[in-house]
Amino acid sequence: MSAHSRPKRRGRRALRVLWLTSLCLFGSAGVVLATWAATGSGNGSDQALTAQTVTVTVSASPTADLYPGGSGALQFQVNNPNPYAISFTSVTYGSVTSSSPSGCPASNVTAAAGGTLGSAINVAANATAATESIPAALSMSTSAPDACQGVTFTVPITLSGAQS
Amino acid sequence: MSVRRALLLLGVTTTLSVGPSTAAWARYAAVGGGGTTDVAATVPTPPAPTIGGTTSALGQACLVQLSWTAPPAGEEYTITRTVGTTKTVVKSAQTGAGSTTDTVLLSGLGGNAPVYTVSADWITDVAWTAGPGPGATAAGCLSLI
Repeated sequence: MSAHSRPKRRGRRALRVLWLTSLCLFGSAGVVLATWAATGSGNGSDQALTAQTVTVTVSASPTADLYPGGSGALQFQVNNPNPYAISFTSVTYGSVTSSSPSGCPASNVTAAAGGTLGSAINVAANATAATESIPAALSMSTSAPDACQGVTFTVPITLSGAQS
Repeated sequence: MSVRRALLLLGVTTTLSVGPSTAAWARYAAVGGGGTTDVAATVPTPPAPTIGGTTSALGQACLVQLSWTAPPAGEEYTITRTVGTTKTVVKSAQTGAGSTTDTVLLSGLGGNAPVYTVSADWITDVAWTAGPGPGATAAGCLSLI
């Protein structure tokens, strides 16, 4: 071997060593990467729950709290068949009807303006007859006739809210 | 292999693991509807007044000591005396418990003892009434005749 070829061999050897060292390092890193990274592909499925209808029904025994010039609470029961609790935060009112329209026309009672409830109505999951009320939802005229005593007033409502 | 290639091999990019995706919470909207009710109150029939006693006034009149209980909030009482078919308001617009002395001429009794009753009405709408309730009889007046 000539004197000139020895440095060349050493240079090549150094590079080989460097390359092998790097390969080992990359290999390790590659092993680390291989243990961390994982990919998979395919199709999975699930079905979103379908919300069940929430119904509002009249209270079985409402409190008689409506006086001329005063306000009374609308009372009702809520049936929530969903497996989650609901918080109702707003209400809209329908037309008032009287159980004695000839003696005490419904015009003697006025429903409040709909909108955001003063206090949310919270109904538990799977509730079958949760008793609820909306305070001061109705007001009676100061000139309501005597025949209005004991009359029942019915108001359809729509409650809006969301799962809580 | 050249040094440059070796260095390039060193420049391997490591993919960082992606952190857990932020859970996106969805809530179901809810709507419920149906009928609701409220009931108008009924003015309760008031109780009878209490007769504390009867005394003579110079042999000409019967003095009847009367008292009554306080009406429920929002109501007022009217105390009425009935002698035969003649009705006379003794006290009106009573919003609290009270008492009074009623003077009845003996000559006007006609053999009938005075009977006292209480009627109620709603203060802000006097059309809402109840009563008269049961009566209290001042039988002692007849003994003064």
